[in-house]
Amino acid sequence: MNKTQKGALAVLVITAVFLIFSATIPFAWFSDVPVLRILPLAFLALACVVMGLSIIFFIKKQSCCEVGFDERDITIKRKAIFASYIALWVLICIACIVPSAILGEEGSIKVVFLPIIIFGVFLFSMLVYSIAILIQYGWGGKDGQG
Amino acid sequence: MNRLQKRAWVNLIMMAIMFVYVAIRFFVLADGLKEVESGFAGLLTYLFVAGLCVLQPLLSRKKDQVHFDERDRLINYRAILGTYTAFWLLILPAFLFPWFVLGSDDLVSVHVLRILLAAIAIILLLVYSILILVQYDWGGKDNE
Repeated sequence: MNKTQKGALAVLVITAVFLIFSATIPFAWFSDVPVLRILPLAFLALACVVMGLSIIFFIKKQSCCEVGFDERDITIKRKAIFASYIALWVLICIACIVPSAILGEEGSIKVVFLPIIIFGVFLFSMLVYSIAILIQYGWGGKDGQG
Repeated sequence: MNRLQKRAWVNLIMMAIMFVYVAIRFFVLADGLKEVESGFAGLLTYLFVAGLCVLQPLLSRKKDQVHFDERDRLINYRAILGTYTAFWLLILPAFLFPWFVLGSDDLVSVHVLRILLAAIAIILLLVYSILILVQYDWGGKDNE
């Protein structure tokens, strides 16, 4: 695995944990069960641990002859950035147009939803970026390995 | 001029027309003309979008096309990367500033979201076009 793949895998894992963390928040918000109320905190702690492990995984070389970074990797990275950029636009358009479709022309939303929208869009675009990289390397298959 | 430069120029010209119109709307039109003018605003917006939609594919036609090589792809990639960065620089303050100023419990109209989206899209189109033209030295001799 080269640096790009390791980075993409680390981002994918961190993003997945953060998405699960985000999904647990409504449960904690509306539930009276004590276990469910501490669920987001547990996932936040897990996200921090996973983030630390991912950074170590990203920095630490697997072997002395770990693959370098060549022209093909640059092309893969560029394509992933394109995919992420397109996904970003699709998501932000959906996030800005869906509320008016649901609530009507005179509707309004709480201001607290604005940072949540941005956080969600950021997580999904990172997810698309990592998946695009891993798909192009064949999910770390033979072609992508050193 | 290749298709990237042509598109960038079309974007800039269309936006210049829009900005002139907005300037006229705010500074020149009298109150009595407001009703006529509001209908004209909608028409002009549709014309702007239709103009972009029609002109962009026309400019991408294969015939009379200057060769599009690796350097052009790199320029396009850099412009998109710059636009991507500008996207985050714009959207973070646009979405976080109301939260800091108004607080969590205040309400914001759904119109605001669409206006923010449209404003950011127009600014990013401008950034993308300028980045393309700057990298080509504004269509100087080297790119002919």
